Amino acid sequence: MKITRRSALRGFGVSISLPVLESFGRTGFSEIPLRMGFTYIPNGVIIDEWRPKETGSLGKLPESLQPLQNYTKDFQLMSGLDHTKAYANGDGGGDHARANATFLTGCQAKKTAGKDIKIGVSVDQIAADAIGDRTKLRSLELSCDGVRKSGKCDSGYSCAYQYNLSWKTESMPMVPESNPRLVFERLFGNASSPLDRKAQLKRRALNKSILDFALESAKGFNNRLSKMDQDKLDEYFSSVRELEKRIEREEKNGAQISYLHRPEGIPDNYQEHLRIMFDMMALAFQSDSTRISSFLLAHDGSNRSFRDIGVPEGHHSLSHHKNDPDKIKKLALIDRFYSEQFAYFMHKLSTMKEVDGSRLLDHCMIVFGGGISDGNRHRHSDLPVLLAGGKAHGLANGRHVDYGSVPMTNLFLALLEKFDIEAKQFGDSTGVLRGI
Amino acid sequence: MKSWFKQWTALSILGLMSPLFTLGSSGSETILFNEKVLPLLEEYCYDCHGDGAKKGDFAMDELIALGNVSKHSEKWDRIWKNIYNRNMPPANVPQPSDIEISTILSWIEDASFGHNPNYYDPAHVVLRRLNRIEYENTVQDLFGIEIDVKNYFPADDTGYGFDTIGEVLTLSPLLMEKYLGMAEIVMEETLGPIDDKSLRHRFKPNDLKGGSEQDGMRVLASKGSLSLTFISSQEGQHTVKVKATASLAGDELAKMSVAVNGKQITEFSIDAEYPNKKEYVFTFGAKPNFSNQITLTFPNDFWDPKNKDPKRRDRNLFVESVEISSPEGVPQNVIMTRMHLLGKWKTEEIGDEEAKTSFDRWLPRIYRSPLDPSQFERHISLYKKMKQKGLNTLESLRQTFKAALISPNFIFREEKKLKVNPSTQPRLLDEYALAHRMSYFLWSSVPDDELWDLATQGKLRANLREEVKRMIRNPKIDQFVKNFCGQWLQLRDLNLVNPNPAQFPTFSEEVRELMILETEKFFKHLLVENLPLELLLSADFSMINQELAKYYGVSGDFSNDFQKVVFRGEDLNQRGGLLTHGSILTITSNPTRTSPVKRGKWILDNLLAAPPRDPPPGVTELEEPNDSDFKKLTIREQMAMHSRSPTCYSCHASMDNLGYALENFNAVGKWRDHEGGKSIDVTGKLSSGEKFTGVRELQRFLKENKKQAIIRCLAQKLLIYGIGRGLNFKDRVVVDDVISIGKQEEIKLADLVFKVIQSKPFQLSQ
Repeated sequence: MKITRRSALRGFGVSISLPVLESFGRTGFSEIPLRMGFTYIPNGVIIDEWRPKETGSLGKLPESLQPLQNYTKDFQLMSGLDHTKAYANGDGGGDHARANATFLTGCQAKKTAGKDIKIGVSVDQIAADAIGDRTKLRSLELSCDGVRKSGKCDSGYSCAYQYNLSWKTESMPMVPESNPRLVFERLFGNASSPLDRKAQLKRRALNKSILDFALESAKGFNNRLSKMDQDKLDEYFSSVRELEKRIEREEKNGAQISYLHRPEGIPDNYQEHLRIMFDMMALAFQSDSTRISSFLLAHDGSNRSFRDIGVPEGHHSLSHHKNDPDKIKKLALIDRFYSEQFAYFMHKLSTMKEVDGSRLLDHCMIVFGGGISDGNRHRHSDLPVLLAGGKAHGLANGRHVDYGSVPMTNLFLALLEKFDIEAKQFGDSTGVLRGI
Repeated sequence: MKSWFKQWTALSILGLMSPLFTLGSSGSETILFNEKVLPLLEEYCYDCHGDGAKKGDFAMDELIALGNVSKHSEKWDRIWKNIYNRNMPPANVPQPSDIEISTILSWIEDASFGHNPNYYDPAHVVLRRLNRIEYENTVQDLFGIEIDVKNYFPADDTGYGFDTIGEVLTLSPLLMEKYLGMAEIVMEETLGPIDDKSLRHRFKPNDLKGGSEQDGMRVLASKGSLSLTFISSQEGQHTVKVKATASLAGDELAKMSVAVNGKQITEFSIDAEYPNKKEYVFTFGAKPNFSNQITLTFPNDFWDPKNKDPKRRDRNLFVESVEISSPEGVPQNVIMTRMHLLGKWKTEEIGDEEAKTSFDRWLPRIYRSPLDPSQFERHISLYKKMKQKGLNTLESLRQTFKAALISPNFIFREEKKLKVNPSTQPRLLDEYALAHRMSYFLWSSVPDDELWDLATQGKLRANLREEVKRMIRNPKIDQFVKNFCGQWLQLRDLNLVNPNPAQFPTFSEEVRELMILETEKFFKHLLVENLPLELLLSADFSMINQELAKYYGVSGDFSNDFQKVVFRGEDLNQRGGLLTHGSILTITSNPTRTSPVKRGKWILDNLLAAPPRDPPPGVTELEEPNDSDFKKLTIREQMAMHSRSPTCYSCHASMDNLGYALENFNAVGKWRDHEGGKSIDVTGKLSSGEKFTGVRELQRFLKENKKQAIIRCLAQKLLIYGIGRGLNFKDRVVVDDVISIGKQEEIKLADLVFKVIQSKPFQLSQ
């Protein structure tokens, strides 16, 4: 891992929350941080309605991507990116669980309903390990699925694979938050019980000493445990240390953003829910509370219905369309719905300004895509992938490139490279995707 | 002659693979295989997987000829699973008896997995952290508070269909953060505000109803009101500060009239001109635990668009915040919780002595086991350290308990073993650990005083049966009903389905709730009354109320309360037994139509523990066909066309036919005789030739022919849920043992639960 100019920033005692950001940018354009975000579309898309057939510069977009027509200068479309580890490879059924689990890890999920869950560290967490300590939160995981399906998940895979995108270790997912109010409070504190700065500092000092105490307890506890349980306790150790670091980072800033409006709980309407979660991601980036985020719009295999757009059927059961034109039409409507929400996000990022007047969007690289290309046949090759933003870092937007057939993880390596994070290999990658 | 030949070949095969049965030096395993096992495999398997037949690319005789059974244990494991789950032999060929199955399985366990049936290995239960429901119940029961934890913690992952599995209950940094935050909230609820200072509740623009938002304030641009709801926990005078401003227009100031619970209290003239704000203060008397409605009315709107000064054209009222302070002193609810935790409630009476006594009493309960002296001392010194830092007694207590609540000893459920005879493996759990296994199993929470005391006295095992009975009669058993049925029967998923209201307008949010309650109350009835398990399917009654009776079209007089209703006449044809419950019929449907596949799969998964094989990868799951003419056909006719496809047929035949019998129920569990003008064919025919028509016959068929399978299934699910791990081949004998309560008599639900608690995996620890 190599860290360049950005490591210098820490020395300046860079503050994190919004109001301070004003002073932060004065040192110049180059020091505005880069962010990465991942947003996941479930159940594949009707690709002909989603991605133009021709490569080269983007003209009129197909129906499902129409909502993004105004942003063609701000994203690029990619063909020929594969997730071969999402195929069965001898493990039988369970393509939805695999698609979801492989998306950011590029690894084959171990088929188990519970014992020894294992996949691989995801790209966002590789980034978080390298640069996460520069912000209040290492990374931020979001989802619109607040509850797990009960009973069996997908064909013998634990639900953990299907409801998490981000994996901190091979066996520990970063469980996403689905309540926007709680996300907000993580970012900016609990505005309903305002503490003055002195009280906050006092509370942090106390929290640090009780965390020390708990770590001490854990050591005694650890001695009594078997190997397998010690792995469990390792999760505890690492999470407590993470929390300690976070508290330290908070001490360096700590201003609360009182003029922002705290969202209420989870909206009933799915579109509103998606949008307010996108708001949260945008706010987190804007306030530099984190530079890394992932958002599971819905878990793969989701059978959500979309009555507001005239599709009362379940998404998953529809996705097995068997070339029925009526079903294909409805699926394309759902795809378009997701594009609309993503367009909302892009709009948001492009209206938020950095201190030098440039758009926040130009300092973000956002992947919008999914782990299934054709839902009907559960294909995991030639996935739908859109990469948005990153103008300030030279991303070549406004075009559609066909890469033939290369691992999706090659793209992720390229994103890591933009962060000056040297990861030679990751998941099933074969090299850095050039020219993005 | 033929049998001699076969024996000879078998012997010669076994001879060739001499290192095969490393377990037996006497060759008794060889003889066992030869005389007992091989003939069964030949009879039941070789038609498709032997003597040249190689269905599904698998030939059992070739596998046997490979020898070295333990080296090929992966393949044997698949055979074991297929036979154990009764997936093989398929239903359309002769079936081995339970004893024959047991013979084959125990041979595989011995030869392939090296399992010694005389030695039970309880397998390791990975350290379980509390799931969010258990956490909520635990802190509520420990501290006597009411608190919403579930919606504050992220969702727990599940394994083997349940959220009690240590292996998938991971502890992410996010959750650790939440543990710390929640510990703070729990202790604030329990001990009250610092220094008995009054509690302040702040309402921001978002929290106010009425008007619109502008510049971070709530604005009334015309005549109207803002309102808020405040729940007072204390009796006495509350002080309210309203931070407000108003724009000037006309010849009077904006007025703000204040009413509490409909009664006008005062009226202010807002003399702070926009954007300067000022606090306007009033008081009102409140009752404890009362929901107060506070209304701020703007009665004198004024608008003069023609005024020369644009700042004097519009009179509006702006409110930035409302802050309510409760009276000083200890609120009523905190008096109760302090008494519970400390034995005293007056702040000045709580000193080091009370702190020590409280640690002594409660730390073992929090850590689920007595503390050794050094552990206890550590807490005392943390407390002292806090006091040295200048914190008062209550604050120091609060921090020490907070530390306990984020300690791994609380977050994880360590299960200690009995200290006697440490050389024997496996060992019995000690009684504290057993008490907690039982209480988390049946109550999703900590033991109550009675259970704890039994464990302390070491008398729990001696009183196991009475104790389980008592626990089942305790109202906390609702947690078991909710959490176990919610996942076993997938009732939780009812909150995730969304039937299309255009097609099913009568399916309301209320009906959704009632459906869940019906199934929960039905299950609870069988449990608490200890009724035979077969009633799950054969009951002629259910638990319904007026609204649900109306929804189902059941005749009779009902009230809003749920009651046991015995169905008669036509009602009995339609209702009674789990498979007639609206909950289950709706969970297993798509938003716009029924799904016989899903219904059949639900029965196989959750009642028979014989899950259909996974669909082949790449092929669509629960694939259902669609051609242009299809829409005119009934679901059943569509399915039938689909099942002609040979790759899908073998599995789908078993699922779909079970589902067909339920086609009299639409996608939201209502009875129907017709679909799209056509009468519905509700006969199901299994490949074994058995037939049933409609739900009553299906339930009777399952009850009579699949009795063992259903009981076994339930026992497995109870074990997984209760001990927190998946089952393996070593547990087969245990499960058989659990369900062997009197072959002749009927197995009853509470008895089965008791047998699960009594079973080796529940009682032992590796």
